[in-house]
Amino acid sequence: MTPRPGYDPGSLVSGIVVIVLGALLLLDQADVLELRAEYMLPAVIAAVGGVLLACGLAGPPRGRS
Amino acid sequence: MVTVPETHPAPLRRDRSHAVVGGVCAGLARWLGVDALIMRVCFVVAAGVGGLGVALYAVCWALLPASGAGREGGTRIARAAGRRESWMVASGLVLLVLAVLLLFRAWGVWVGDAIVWPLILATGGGALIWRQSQGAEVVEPPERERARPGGGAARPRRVLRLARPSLGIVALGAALIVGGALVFLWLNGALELDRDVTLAVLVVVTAMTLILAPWWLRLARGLTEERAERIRTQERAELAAHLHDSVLQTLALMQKRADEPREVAALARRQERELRAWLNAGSRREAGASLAAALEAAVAEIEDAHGVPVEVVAVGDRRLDERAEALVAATREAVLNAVKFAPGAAISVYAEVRGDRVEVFVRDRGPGFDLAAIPPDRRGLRESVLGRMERHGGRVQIHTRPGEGTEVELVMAA
Repeated sequence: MTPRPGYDPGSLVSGIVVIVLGALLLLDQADVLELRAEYMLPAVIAAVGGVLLACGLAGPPRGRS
Repeated sequence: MVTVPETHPAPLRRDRSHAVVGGVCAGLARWLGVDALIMRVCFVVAAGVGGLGVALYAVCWALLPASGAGREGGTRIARAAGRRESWMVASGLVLLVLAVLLLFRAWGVWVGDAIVWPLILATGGGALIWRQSQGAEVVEPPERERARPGGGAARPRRVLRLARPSLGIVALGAALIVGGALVFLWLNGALELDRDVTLAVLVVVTAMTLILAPWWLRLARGLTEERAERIRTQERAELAAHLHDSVLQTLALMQKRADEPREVAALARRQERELRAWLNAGSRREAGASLAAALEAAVAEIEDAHGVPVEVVAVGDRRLDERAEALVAATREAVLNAVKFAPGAAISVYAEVRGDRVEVFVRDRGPGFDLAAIPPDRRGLRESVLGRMERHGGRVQIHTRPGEGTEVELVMAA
């Protein structure tokens, strides 16, 4: 198996977004934060939008034309 | 004759050179002919109305091409828009704008669903159509369509042509505008009053579309095929006319002068050159404007004057300036020398334009000569080739030996 020449920006942003969302939900479950639907919905939509934008701008995956 | 210059309005572009954020306000202001500050104030005020200004700015930023994008490769989004990932970029931007709008709605900075959502839909659709119309290709008809059989010049007919993928985007934009209008009517209760009438109109329009769509498609396809057939017919007619005017006439002339082999060879060579130039009409060079054209013209002149064929190959080209003219003159002299001192031998000229220099090789398979034995009074080689090249910052190398032909290498900085 050949090592990857670098990281994929799309995957990196996706990972960060999922971690942040997961952390928010965890804090909500632990009653540290109180997340309301009218704020969570834009946050989730913005997260999905950010991931799509990052993946789109990152270009095609390496090793594929 | 007075020529009236054709004026085109400047296309709407983002102005990155005067940008504060993305150059949208500066671009709009330049296009409208107002101060950029006015546009910025308008957007800031609109941003306070339910985040409308933010959404509009994002849509404009995503859809308007940046000024100078073609030269510099454009922004990352503009570059991504041309790739397969463009739908991801577009979807991402739409979702981000939607998130911002929902956030403003949650904060209560909102003018109402009945206005904002239809406006966003209609703006998005309008921006899509606008962008496609800005990028539409203005097609000039080919030269053969402009020329009339009678010799008169037809009035140029310019056609605005959308690329096939653009038609889908325009249709999407139109659907968004219609959808926005319907949503606006529905949210404001306008559709409820005449619900039966609206429903009937929608059903009839849908039915008519379904009925007429195949016929319309056939008509469009038929028109395309007819146009292609017309172009093919014109090309065939043009080809036949050209063959008659050139090749057939030359062949007839050659038959008449069959007892003059030198003249026949010259005629054949001239016809070959003309035919090659016609076949390469797509990459035709304007005589006197480029190095390759000047080289070809100089060699053709020698061929005609001496009746000797000289093969010319030019790779790349450049503008004809003073140094290039000197290179052409030196090449001409080298070819003349080859014609004089290598009678009957094959002569070729190879020119190559590289990034920083131009190289020309004049080769012949003649008897060759001893370079050291050239008498000092031979000004042709010393002055017209070596001296001329050195005066213009070039250099010459001559590779020759008695019995092995000659190669004159001329190098000039581009």
